Amino acid sequence: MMKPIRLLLLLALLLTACGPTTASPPGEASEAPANAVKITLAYSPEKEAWLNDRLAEFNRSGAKVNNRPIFAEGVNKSSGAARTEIKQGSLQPTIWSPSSSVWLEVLKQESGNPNVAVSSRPMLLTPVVISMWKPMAEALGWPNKQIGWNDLLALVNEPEGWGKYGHPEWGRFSWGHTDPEISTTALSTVLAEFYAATNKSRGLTEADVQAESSQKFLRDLGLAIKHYGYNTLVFSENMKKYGTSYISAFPMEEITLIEFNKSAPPTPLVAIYPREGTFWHDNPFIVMASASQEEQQAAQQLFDFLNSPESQTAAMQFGFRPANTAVAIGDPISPQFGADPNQPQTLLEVPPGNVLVAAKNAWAANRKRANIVLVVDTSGSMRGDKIEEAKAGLELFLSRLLPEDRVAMVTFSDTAEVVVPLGVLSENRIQLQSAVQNIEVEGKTAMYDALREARKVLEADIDDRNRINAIVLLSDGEDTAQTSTFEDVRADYNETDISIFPIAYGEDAAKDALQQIADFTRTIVISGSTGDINKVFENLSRYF
Amino acid sequence: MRPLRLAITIGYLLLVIATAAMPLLGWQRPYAPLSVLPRPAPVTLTIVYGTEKQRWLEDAAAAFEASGITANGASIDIELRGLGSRESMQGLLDGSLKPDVWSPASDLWLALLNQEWQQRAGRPLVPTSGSDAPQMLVLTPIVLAAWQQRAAALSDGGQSAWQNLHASIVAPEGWGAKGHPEWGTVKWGHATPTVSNNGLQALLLMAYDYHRKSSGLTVADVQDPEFLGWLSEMERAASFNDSSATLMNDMIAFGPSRYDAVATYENLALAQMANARSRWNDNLVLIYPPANLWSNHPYAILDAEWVTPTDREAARQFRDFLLSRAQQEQAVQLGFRPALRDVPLDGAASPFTRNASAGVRLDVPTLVEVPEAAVLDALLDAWKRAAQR
Repeated sequence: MMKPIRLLLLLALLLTACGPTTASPPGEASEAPANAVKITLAYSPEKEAWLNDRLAEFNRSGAKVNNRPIFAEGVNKSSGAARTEIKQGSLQPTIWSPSSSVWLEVLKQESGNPNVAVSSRPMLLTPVVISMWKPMAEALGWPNKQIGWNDLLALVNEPEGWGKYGHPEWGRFSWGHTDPEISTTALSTVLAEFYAATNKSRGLTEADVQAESSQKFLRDLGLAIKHYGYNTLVFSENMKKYGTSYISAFPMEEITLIEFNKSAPPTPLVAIYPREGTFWHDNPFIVMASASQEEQQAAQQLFDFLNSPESQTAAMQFGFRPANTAVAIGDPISPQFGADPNQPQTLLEVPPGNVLVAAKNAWAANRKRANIVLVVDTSGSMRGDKIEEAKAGLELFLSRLLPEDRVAMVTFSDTAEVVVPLGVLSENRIQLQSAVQNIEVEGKTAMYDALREARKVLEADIDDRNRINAIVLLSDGEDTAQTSTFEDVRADYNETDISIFPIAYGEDAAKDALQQIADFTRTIVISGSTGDINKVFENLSRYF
Repeated sequence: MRPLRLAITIGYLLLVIATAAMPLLGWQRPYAPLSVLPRPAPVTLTIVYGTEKQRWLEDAAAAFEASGITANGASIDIELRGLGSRESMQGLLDGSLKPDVWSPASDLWLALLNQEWQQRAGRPLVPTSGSDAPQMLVLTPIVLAAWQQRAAALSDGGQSAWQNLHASIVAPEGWGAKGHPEWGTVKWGHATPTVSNNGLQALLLMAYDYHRKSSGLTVADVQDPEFLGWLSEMERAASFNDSSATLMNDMIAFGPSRYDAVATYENLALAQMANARSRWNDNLVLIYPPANLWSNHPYAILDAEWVTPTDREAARQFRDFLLSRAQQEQAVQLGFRPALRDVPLDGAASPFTRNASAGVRLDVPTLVEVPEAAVLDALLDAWKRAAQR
């Protein structure tokens, strides 16, 4: 007789433990109850902090569909990458929330399936802005004068650079650009450039994109690009670190700008809402057609929760503008953080999928080409797995560069040697590949000598604004040959626009020495190990 | 002994609780003998309605369920499903929707549905006479809701609102022609006519206005190549949304950057006036087209085999509840015009009074005649070509 009662008690206890009233630590999603209707939400990274909190709260709220609890799970995935994985079938979320609904159009176009989603509603809003250092924006007449892409092009073409505006000490105008294959802001930026090139604000066509005059506009603006980047992060970190001497301007979402200014930098950024118009990123709540009827109902409840005044107000603290119109806009969307809540005043039309894809392709064909010197440490400490993994990474890197890029290779141990001189990749690819395969490791680390050799390799191209001049330095140690000094290297590179990207390879890499080098060329040290060096090289390839 | 005593105690307690709860559960006669009748199972009243009434109907349904009103002794659960008017008509026709009550935005849809149903079943799905004939719940006209500064620029053309809008759209310099190059091109929106009542009405008003008439629109009128050219120009500058409520929401969320103006229901615009001000530091103003159309929100109890006598009774109860003075006053607060004549529009707290300076009119100008189905079909075909849909 006692047994069933005990069992009941136990069950009751268990139910209580799993029940919606049980508080789990904030931010930590509890386990899904056994009979739960599970839904997944794939979202772009800038919503991570907000959704971590909101999804946990939703799972605790006791929301039910057909008397079964709903359990929502988040997957953090960059917009462009998510669209590729959904297309390939390796990602099958119930709900997809990229930065912008533009990605849904890209997915429809690329997959040839116009019915891939059942609904799409804006969830959080942020406009794309050109962020610029406040004193520079003021020199251009901000906030009284409206500034646009055409003003930036004029500044790019201005031989005196900022000197024209009374600030020769700022040098020439420069900016950065992320990869539209991955970054929504980059895709919006490319579209804005094409609109500006054709003097249109709607009805952009494939023919417009393919016109030689438009592509020239893109290439001309590209002259001032310091380097490309995998995502926004590397740029905002470097802007924080090097301030106005790094780049003059960078297109970003308003939320990124607000976040930047929240950290109270010595020089703040201001948002320029381009005169020609801009785009909103609407962080849509897209219910996928693959979701069952029950999952769609559960998704509706999640939408209602995320669209509630409470959730929307929480998102505003991160710098998003709420899509729920009942929530009034306040700090931090304010001039104090570089934003103007009354802007933007006009928009560019989002073109249809075929034009989006054409614009992406045109960008790839017209982006600035690079001169790259690979400077590879072949000293004794690189022995074993280390050099073998690095070889594979170098091969991957070479495969990701454009055929028109020019590449050279310098290796160093006791001395430095130019093993492959600078040449067009389509012509010296095989030579580079065999040089990589033939690397032998031994001896000391003549790193500074190698950097001075690399400088000589680029000698003829120092003043060529048509190309990015860069050095990729792979090393695990500090200079032990001591035939040149750090000061020699710095003097060599002074007044050049060459960027050196050091990869600190291995756990015991001498990061300080490499950081010194990154600092004077205003780049970043990238850490890699045998486990992830492939990924490091793949990401780095997107800088050029 | 113990278990028995416990059972008695529990039984007594249950009796007390049940008796006390009876009025709450909708038991109208607290003195009825307890043992005589088992309580009938609750009845679920399903209602498919146009989304612009969402807020009013959801609040009313909650109040109704709490009131304890019954149908043949059964308590009533209300299940609401908001859908575009055309979409719901198609659902009724293809059998995917089987509600007890249909309340589209306009009785235009009842006529279209009945016409089709008559051919198939030999009788109308919506009764046209008798005590269950449709009754209108609330009324609302079409307006152009525009941002104040931009509205001024749209109303100085000296022509009708539609013609002024067209003139601004085709000006090559866009807003530059009105001294505001920073506003870019003129951008407006309306609901998708193939899905939404609101969209179809806007389209119909444009067609009448172009031909300068208010009745007798013909197939030849809507197929006129010059009208088609004019419409293409209008729609090239327009964005569409399947839901009129979402469109109005987007206008406020994205602000004047996205839409200078939208064609919408008066009630949806009135519901967003305060939000518009607080978000964009600019007012919305309402511009009434020279000729208009009412959306009269009929409440149609369907004459279908899936509607039981108890469903029907429940439907009548909720209809009468919606037409009660309290609910009609509530509708006015939400920006609707009441079906009950003696409910005032211009009370001190009414949005019609509060927004008088935003162009709200108590009288609505001339009404246009709703043309027959063939003209509406031709108009939708014309729109698909003009908007490249």
